[in-house]
Amino acid sequence: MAARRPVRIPFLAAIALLLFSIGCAARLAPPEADEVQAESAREAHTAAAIDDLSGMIERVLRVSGRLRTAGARFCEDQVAPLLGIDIEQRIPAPDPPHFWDAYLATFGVEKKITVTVVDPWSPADRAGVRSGDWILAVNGRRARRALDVFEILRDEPDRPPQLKIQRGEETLEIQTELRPACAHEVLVNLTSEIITGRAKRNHAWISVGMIRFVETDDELAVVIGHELAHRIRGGGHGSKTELRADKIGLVLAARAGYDETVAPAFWERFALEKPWMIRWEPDSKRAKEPWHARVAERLLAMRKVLGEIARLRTEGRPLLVSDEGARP
Amino acid sequence: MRRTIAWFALLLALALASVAHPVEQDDGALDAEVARLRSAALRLRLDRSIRVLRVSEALRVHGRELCGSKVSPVLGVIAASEDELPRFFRETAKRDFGVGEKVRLVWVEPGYPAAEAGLEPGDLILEVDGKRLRTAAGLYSRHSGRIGPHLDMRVERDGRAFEIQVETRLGCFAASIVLGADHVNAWMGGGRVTITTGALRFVESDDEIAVILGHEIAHHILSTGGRPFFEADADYMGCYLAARAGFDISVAPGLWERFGRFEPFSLDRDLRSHPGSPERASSLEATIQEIRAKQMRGEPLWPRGAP
Repeated sequence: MAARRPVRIPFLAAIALLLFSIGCAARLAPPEADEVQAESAREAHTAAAIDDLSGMIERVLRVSGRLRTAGARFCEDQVAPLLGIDIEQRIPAPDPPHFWDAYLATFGVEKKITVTVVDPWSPADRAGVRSGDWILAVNGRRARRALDVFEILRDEPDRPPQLKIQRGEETLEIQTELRPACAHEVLVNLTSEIITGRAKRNHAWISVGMIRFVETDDELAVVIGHELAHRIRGGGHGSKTELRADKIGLVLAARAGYDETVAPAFWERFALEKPWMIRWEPDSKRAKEPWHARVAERLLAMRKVLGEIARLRTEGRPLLVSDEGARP
Repeated sequence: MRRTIAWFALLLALALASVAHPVEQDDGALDAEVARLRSAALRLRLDRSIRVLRVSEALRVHGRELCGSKVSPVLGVIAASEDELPRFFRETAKRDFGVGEKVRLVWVEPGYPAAEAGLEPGDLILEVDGKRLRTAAGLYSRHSGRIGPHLDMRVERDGRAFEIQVETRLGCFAASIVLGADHVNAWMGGGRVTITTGALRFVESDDEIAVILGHEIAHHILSTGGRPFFEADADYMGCYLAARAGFDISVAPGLWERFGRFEPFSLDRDLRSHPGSPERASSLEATIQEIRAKQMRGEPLWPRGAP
């Protein structure tokens, strides 16, 4: 009993203080939101945002599909048939964000691997694969996880893909044409506003922030080309690798029919937004060198590469990727 | 077999014309390129800071009556000292604007007390009210406590030191700064409002900046003992601040709509107190009606329930 007494007084004081501060807090009287109006606005905004995101995915599928196809000959043993689809799978989570739930529901994504976006004119589109299709098996092998689909394709790079698909009650066997491409799928990071991209071991991704930052498909091709190039000759993120990735990326963009000459202006715009990336200097806040840093060095190198690409073009010679340091 | 073909292709590639890998850069060219890019980046940052300054100072001055005792002198300047700048900007700021150890004015906005007192870009502020000024932040974050009708500043210009009197024009406490970050965001903290470069790329007008900064300044006015108030209250008072400064607040609901579409995870209602963006847009519509009605009747723009 006695032990509780000293506790009580500060406790009551705290209650009094809390009541007092609530009293002060409840001063303003902002108008209440119209719940009905807000709810219908939420639906409309959700639908619009899903439209925006699927448009971005389609755009990345289109540009990356062209780059991967054009780069097939440089990807050597990392080639796989191109499908031109984005897939999702519902992974049970205790409290998924409302928006993500709505996104998955729009495409009927369930536990099974579900096609969300199909790039028009891609092999999958031409063979009749549709948004909302469930992929059960690829080349006769059952796919459980979404990334299995691309792993299986990678295992048999010379075989026209054979998809077992469930559409409603129907089960279909769909054969797509063989379009060899660099094996690395380019995904969209739907939650990152940062202007960035990454080359991972089996795929690359670029952020929503980056897709919004690029102004044209040519600029997007330069960025995706750079990320794909990281996978063409090993990853790593030293300064040399960045320069090499830029060079191969520009050649890929040029070979895919994009205007590679937009690159310097694009990276310059990038550098002005992210001045800490112009030349890397250790900073207490950013102790680790960010990816794609050293833009100044890269810009100088890029201008030389563009000069060479232009020269080869005018001479009517093919655009190829040489080994390190080799010259004609 | 595939290997052989690959090797053959590689040899063929070497034999044919190919784009050589870049050779080592020479350091002089690299230094010049770094300097050029950093100058342009710093100029862009300054232009954005000036834009934010214009909106923020107008909000502060016109909102003064709503801010009670949470006021500080509005000067209408952008100042900097070396130590406060990020490392990648230090050299450039020194070369382009002469920013060194002491606090130097890099921008003086016409129509505000600093300009009216004759201060100019390039001036060094050595002392304020007899106290040595160490940081530019010290210039913005002066509390109203012991402030007279004017600030006595000791200034250095072209190597010559002199005294200058700047009128004390009080405004809401928090000055605004621009931070280089991709996120669309703004927040109140450490006695100032921070808005990101991502937010400045997102906004379509100064009116939208006013709505954002007004919201953050309102957070500061409404906070008691560091405890933040609800978002809805800050939205409400922020709109009043923007309207008082003559900004077009009808952009507010559209701003939230665009943000909801831009950052769809913000559409969710946060259980902790943050309304979702549609709720915010909806109550802002009602706030706009309320303010319009007051403007039509010629009533003072005073939020309901404010002291």
